[in-house]
Amino acid sequence: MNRGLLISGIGHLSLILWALLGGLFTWNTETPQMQAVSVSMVTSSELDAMQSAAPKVSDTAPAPTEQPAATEAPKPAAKPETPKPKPAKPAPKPQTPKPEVPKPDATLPQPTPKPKPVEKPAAASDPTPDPLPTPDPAPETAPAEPLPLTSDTPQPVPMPPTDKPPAPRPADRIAETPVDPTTQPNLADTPTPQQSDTPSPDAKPAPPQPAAAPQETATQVTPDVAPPPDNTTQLAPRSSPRPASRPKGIGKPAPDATPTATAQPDAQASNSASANQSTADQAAIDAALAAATASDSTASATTAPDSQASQAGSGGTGDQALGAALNSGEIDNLRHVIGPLWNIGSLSTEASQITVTMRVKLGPDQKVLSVEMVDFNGGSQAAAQQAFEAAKRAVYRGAQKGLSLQSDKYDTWKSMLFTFDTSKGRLR
Amino acid sequence: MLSPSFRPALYRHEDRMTRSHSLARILGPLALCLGLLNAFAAQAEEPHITFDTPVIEPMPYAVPDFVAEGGGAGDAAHNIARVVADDLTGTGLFREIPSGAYISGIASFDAPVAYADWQAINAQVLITGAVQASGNKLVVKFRLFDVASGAPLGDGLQFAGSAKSWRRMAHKVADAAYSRITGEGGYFDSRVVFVSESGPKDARQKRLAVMDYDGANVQYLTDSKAIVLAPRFSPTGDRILYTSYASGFPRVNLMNTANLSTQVLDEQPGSMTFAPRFAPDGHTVVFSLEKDGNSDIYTLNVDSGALIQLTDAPSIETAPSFSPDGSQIVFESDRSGAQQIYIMPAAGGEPTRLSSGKGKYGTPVWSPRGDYIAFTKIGDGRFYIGVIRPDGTDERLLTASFLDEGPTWAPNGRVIMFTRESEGAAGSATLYSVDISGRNLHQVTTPGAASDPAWSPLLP
Repeated sequence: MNRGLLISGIGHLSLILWALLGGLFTWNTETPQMQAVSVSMVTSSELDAMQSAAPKVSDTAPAPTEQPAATEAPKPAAKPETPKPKPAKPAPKPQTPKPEVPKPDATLPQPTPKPKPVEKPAAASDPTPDPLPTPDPAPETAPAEPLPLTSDTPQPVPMPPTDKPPAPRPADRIAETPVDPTTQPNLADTPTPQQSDTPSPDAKPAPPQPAAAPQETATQVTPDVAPPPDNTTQLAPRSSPRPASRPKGIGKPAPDATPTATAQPDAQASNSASANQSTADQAAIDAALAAATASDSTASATTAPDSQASQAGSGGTGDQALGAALNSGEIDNLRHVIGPLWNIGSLSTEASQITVTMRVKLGPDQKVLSVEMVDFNGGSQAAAQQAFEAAKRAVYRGAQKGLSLQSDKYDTWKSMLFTFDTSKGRLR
Repeated sequence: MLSPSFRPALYRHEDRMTRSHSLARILGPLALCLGLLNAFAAQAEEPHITFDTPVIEPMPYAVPDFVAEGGGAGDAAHNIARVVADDLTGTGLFREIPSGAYISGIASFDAPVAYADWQAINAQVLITGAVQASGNKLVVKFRLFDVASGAPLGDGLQFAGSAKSWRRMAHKVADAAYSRITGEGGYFDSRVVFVSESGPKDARQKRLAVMDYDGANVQYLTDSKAIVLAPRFSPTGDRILYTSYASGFPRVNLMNTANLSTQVLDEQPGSMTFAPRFAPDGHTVVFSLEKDGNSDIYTLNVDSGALIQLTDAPSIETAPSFSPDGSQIVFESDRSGAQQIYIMPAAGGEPTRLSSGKGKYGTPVWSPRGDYIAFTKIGDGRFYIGVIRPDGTDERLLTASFLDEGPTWAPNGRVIMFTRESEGAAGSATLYSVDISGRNLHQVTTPGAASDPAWSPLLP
């Protein structure tokens, strides 16, 4: 409490001092300097002269670049349509005109009351009148030109693939500039930005984590296991070096706790000393078991995976996140980094409905070594390939940003399965 | 194991100890085996993480000006890159990163790609290209790169053509890039035939015109002396069907696009023909024929002239459209009292009603992929463009306005173009396109008023 008061006092004092001395009440009243721009005066006659000299902008010319193509084309069959001058006027029409006969589209606008939007039905529905008497000034008679679709158009012809693309070196620019100092070759590899983004210190965070793990286990176990020698208390931390296995930590004391619980009836039946002996025997057996299981360095991490997998999964979003030794926080972090980068907006409708499972292999530096599609469902192989590439892009980009995986769990995350399930965000 | 110091002098102690010893002797190796098994199991079992919330947004990409190899290719190199960018960005699926954001450029087509520079500006795909000009000939080559993984996306391609056809080559490049990234066919190297309109609404003049899908290269096919409606491309794009009022009555005409020669199909006296469309085989035309006050659907073999009546009902049957496999025909009929959409076998037969919602449905058009049928819907005084599955499910309305009508499919079945007419005496018709997801609605640039678009197949 005193410390709190002291900190509060210091804070307030520094705030007051800053307000008094830091220029809070001495606002800079200087107005910014104005910038002057020189302007030359032009008389009206000069302006008229300039305007008249300026090139006129034509209002036509929809596409200037394609004009040559249009003009180059000869006009051989300019008016194939004109042969029937106007026989439409007399229109001997024997048949009764149906109102909606002219065109399917013509039937559509009719129901709407107020608009008379489509007058093509209007013109069409009455067969007798000739709808095109007055030639408008704008459209000159059709400059009909042959379409370039068929014969003489220069067709772009697909050619065989060009020579192989060069080996994708990272970036000349980057390699040339600062890298070359021979003292530290590692620096040449690290300048990529993602290196700095993934600060994950490799071996340093190890000490604090084991301290956290045994604490959890110790608080539950120590009261019961107090009589046995302190060897057991040393063994417990050794067998669980990482806190990542929270379920493991929870599961670990259980076997220790159960024997003591079973030892209690024995103690009640006979003697407390004998109870201690029996617990000592059980503890010794357990120690032998623990030593056997812990003989392999990875075995300690594998004692939990099954139970841990399900529990870590439940800690996620509810699906099968079976992180062997990745805790729910790490799994969520992966989702947080990679998920927003998974963009299916440019996929085909089919590809955007495919769920892809891929195996991602990472290097110790958390860079992607390889990504391979393991499984897919919901579409064709070709579409699955597109869906896979979209997901792969997300993985690569996420790795570039930094996955923040713990380096001492490399054995766990060096190979992972990612499933990209599109069922919640499907395009149609 | 158990040390002698633990031995108390209690009864049954010896037995217990021996039992413990034997138990430990058995459990020890067993536990060792279990531990090893667990170790192997852990190695086999990998962390499995599921991602289930994809992002749907345009993919950022970069397409620097193509490299001009040889003199005279500078303009083409720039223009082709711009057309490629317009094509891709126009789909709504891609977002171009402006060139001002580039950290590095592409000095040479074969130079290594500085992936880090493109990653830094968040480009996910990079398109590089080069243009060689020799005389009147252009050679355009390009490559795609997946910036994130730092690898090429497929092999590079190159196209050769005359300098005049640079736009088509640009569309080809865009088609290849689009197809490679999205996984579905492109539609940029295609054309659209439409009715160009001019003059006031009460004296509108109409003539057929054709243009690139993006509105460039407009060319007129007919004059304005006769009203023309409903042009439709043949499956090979070399012929166009349309309805002409040149005789005063609607008649289906067939135009050869190579020389613009036309012929009237099935010129029976006292009849009217309209709403034509090709069958997928390119030899059969399906259309409506009105005779004695009743209109039905017929097919006509263009080669032999054989005419077959498919429907025989007192109602109006019109707007037929073949399924892509040619086995079925979807059409519009008011046999139920209001316009609805029906499907029948291509050889005729009992139709099945497809539309079931409120309002009227018309102008159905089968998608080239066969998965959807586009239609015009009228309801509550408004017009809609929508799509529905051929089995009648998944009906979705994509647009709504005062007057939207006449949908036509892009060659890849992903985009729909249609006519939108504005309200009022000064209103005019324009062309719009929309993605079948309902996104990316935008107007297609035309020289003037335009209606009745029909998309061509992808050009060869």
